Amino acid sequence: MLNFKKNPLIRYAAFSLALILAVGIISALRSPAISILSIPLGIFTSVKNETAGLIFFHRNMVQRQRLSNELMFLKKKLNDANEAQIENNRLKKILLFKQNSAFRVMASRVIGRSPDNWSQAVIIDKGSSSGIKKGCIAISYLGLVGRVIDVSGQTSKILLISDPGLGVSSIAQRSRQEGLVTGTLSSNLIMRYLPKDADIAAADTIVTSGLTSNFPKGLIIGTVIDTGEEFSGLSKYAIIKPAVNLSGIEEVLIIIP
Amino acid sequence: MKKWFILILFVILAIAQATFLNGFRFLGLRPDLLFICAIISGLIFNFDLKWLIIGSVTSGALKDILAANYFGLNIILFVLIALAVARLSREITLDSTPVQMALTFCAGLFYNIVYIIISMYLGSFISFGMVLRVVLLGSIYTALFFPVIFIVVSGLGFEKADI
Repeated sequence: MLNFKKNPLIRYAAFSLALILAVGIISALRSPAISILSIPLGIFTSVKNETAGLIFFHRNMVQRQRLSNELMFLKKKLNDANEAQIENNRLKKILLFKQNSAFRVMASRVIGRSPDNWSQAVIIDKGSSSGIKKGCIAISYLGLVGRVIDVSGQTSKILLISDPGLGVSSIAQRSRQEGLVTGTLSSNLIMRYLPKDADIAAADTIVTSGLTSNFPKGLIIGTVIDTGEEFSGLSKYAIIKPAVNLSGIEEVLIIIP
Repeated sequence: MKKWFILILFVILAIAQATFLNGFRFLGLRPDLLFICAIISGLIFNFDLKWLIIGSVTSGALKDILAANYFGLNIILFVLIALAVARLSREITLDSTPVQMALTFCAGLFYNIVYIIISMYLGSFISFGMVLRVVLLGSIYTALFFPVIFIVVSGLGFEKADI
């Protein structure tokens, strides 16, 4: 018969079998056991973290300050990179326009704006030393910007088309209806002196007519967004959204005659 | 020597107005820091005619140089306003900030109304809504900025009583 106590081989086999069974049972119980233990584990971990937080308060505070500084630095770098990318895109468009333009143009940067609320003007970083003269036309790759009204050696002042003091002879691209576009000090322009039966409607593109020698023909001014009748009832007007965002303009091209 | 600092401050404010103040636009309007400079000239140099004229002419000239309108108009208006403020400050007490802000608002109304009358006389057409916006809201916005600039001027050591 088998003697468990005396036969070491049998004893070893029984022990191994028991061990394998135990491992199998424990393995099956692992998931439920972890589920049960997860709550006290979580509590203990929280307590440990809070205790560590209290004990290492000063170290954490210093670390936080350092990381905060790093974050600010990285945010600034990211902001600089974004700004550079936007500027790069804008300058690429200007360069492309400059290469394809029929005019001889000079790129310049806006360095200042009119300080009062009654006029709309910008100051650019190019002046008579770069060949700019009083009366030169300022454009962007999107359309007409304004006219140079004052020139010094290194700077020039441009009266924007949104200024009420600047009138531009213009036509509707579709119907060839003529009118005079002037600024209103707001974000929109007004096209006036249109006949009562003028063929002009919303979404019409307005361009310079070339009737006056100052402005070359065909420069885009903007798009009609609304029309109406003058108070006198004798003529019509059209509200125009400028093609160029004049309030945020940063670079302009000056047409050199 | 100290009085020269205020002129340097006016130049700094003019540069600020022509550059980064664009970010403070509200309904397309910006506070007129150079106009505040003219009012301050009238307030702090109320018994010193020479410096009152220098201060107001400087602020008016700076505005005329940077703006795109008729050169000299701001110089004349700023000097007149500074003289009126100085005269008024001799008659009544203008020490409290709300009174100074109210004075800036009233002077702003006067300045803007005169400006628009001259502009219209010279051929500019501006809609009535826009005129109202610039005259009223522009004056209020400028008046709201008055204490900030006055604090800066006071920081330079200029007090009405010292003059």
